[in-house]
Amino acid sequence: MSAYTALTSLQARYAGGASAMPPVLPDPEYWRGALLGIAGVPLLVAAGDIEGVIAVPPLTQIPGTRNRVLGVASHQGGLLPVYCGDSLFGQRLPPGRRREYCLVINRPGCHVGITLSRVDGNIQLLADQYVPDTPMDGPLAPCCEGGFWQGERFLGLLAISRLVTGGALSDTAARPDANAEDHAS
Amino acid sequence: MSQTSPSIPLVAGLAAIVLGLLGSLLGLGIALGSGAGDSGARGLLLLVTAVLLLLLVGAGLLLWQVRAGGAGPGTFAGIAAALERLAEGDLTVSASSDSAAGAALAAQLNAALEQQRALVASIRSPFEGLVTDLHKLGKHSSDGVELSARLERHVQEAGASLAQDLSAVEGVVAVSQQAREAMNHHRQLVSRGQGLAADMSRASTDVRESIQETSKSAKRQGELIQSVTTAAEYIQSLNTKISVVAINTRIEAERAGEHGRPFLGIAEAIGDLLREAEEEGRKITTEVRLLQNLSAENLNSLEHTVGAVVTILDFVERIDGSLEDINRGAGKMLDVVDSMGSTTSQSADAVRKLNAVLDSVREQNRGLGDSAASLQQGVVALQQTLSTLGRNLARLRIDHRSDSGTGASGFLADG
Repeated sequence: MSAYTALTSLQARYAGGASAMPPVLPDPEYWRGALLGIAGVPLLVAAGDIEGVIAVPPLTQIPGTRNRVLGVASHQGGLLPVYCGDSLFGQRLPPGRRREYCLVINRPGCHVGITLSRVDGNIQLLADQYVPDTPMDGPLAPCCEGGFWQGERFLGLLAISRLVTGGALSDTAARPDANAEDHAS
Repeated sequence: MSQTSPSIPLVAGLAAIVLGLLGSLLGLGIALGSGAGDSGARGLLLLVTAVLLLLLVGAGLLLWQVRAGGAGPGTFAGIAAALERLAEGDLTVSASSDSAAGAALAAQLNAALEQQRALVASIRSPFEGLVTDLHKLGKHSSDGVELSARLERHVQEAGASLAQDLSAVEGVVAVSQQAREAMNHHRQLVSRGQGLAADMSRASTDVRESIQETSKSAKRQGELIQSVTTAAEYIQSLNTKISVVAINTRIEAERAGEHGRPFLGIAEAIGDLLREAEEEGRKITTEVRLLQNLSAENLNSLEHTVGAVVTILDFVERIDGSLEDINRGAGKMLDVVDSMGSTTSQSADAVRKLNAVLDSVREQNRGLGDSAASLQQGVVALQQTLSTLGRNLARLRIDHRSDSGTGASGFLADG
C-alpha cells in the first residue's frame, strides 16, 4: 500500500465515522421598539412610529382648551402641542406632580406630544410571540393593536394611527362641562 | 333530955347551913382557881366569896350561941328553919324568934339576908351585861377570823393575778426587744434599697446619655441615608435620561436606514448597559429604602427607649422618696418601740413592788388571823367559866316570884 492509498483510506475512515454538521438555524426575528408608559399603562411603541421621546419642554398654556391640553411648546423650530397622557386616557394626575417626558408623534396633520408616566427604554421581543388579540381593558385598549406577553404582564402595542384617527387629539376646544367630560373619559 | 331534944334540929340546921356555905365557898374557890375570865368577873367572884364567908361566920356564931346558951325549944325554931332554907340557897327567907335573944339574932340574920339579896342582885345585873358583851365579843372575834380568811383568799387571788400580769409584761418586754431588732434590720434593708436605687439612677442616667448619643448617630445615619436615597433617585433619573437617549438613538438610526446601523448597535449597547444599571439601581434604591425604614424604626425605638429611661428615672426617684419615707416611719416606730419597752419595764418593776407589798399584807393578815383565833379561843374559855359561875349564881334565890334564879343561867344558855 502506498502512502497515498493509506492516507486516502484513513480519510475515508474518519469521514465515515464523523457526525454530520448541525443545521444552521436562521436568526430569530425580533420586534424592536421602546417600552413606555402612558397613564400608568405599559405600552410598546415601534421605533418607526414616533419621532422621539423628549423632556417636557416649557409650555405655554392655551386658553379655551380642554384640561388634557397642557399647552404649546417650541420644539426643533416648530410649535408642538403637548397633551396630558393621564387626562387623555381617563386618569387624574395627583396634585403637585408633573410628568417629565413626553412622546412626540409626527404624522401628517398631527404633530403632538403626549406625556409619559414612565420611560423604560428600548426593548426587543421575539416576533413569533406576537399576540394579535388585545386582552386589555380601559381607554387605551382601542388604541392598541395586539401585543406581547412578558411573564404575567401583557404589553399592548400602541398603534399610533388608531390614536391619531381616534379624534381625541383633535378635539381640544373647551366645553362648559369639560371637567366632567375629562374625568368621565 | 327534954331541953336537949328541941335544940337538936336547930343545931343540925345550923350545921347544914355551914356545910352549904362551905360548899359554895368551895365552888367559888374552884372557879377562882381555874383562872378563867377577866378581872371584873374575878372581882365579882371574890365579892361573892366574901359575902358567903360573912354568912358562914354568922351561921357559926349562931350555932355557937345555940350550943352554948342552951336556948329553949321554940326560941330558935324560926331561925333554924330560915337557916335551913338559907342553906338550900334561898335568900328570900325571913327568920323570926319569940325570945328576945332570938329576935335580935333573927333581926340581924334578916338584915344580913337583905344585904345578901341586894348584893346578889347587884352581882347579877352587871353579870348579864357581861355575858351579852362577851357574846358580842365572841361574835366579833369569829367575824374577824372569817374576815381574815377571806382577806387571805383575796390576797392570794391578787397575787396570782399579779403573777400573770408580771408574766404578760415580761412577754411584752421580750416582744418589744424582738420588734426593735426587726426594725433595725428593716432600716438596714431600706438603706440597702436606697443604695440600690441610687446605683440604678446613675446607671439609668448613663444609659440615657448613651442612648442620646446613639440617637444623634442614628439621626446622622438617617441624614446620610437620605443623601444616598437622593443620589439613588438622581441615578434613576439619569437612567431614565439615558433610556430616552437610547430610544431616540434607535429612532434616528432606523430613520437613517443603512447608514444608521452603527448607531443602532450603539443604541442596543446603551440599552444593555442601561438595563444592568437600572437593575442595580433598583437594588440600591430598594436596599436604601429598606435601610431608611430600619433607621427610622431604630430612631423611633431609641426615642421610645429614651422616654422609657426617663420614666425609669422618675420611678427610681419616687422609689427613693418612698424608701426615705419608709426609713423615717421605721425610725418613729423604733422610738415608739423603745418607749413601749421602757414603759413596760417600769410596769414590771411596779408589779414586782406590788407583789412584795401583797406578800407583806399576806404576812400581816396571817398574824391578824392568828390573833383573832387566839381571841376566839379565850372568849370560848371565858364563856365556859361564866357559864359555871352563872349556874352557881342561879342556885342563890333572891326573888319570891320564882323558885330558883334563872337570869344568869338563861343568858349563858344562849351563849
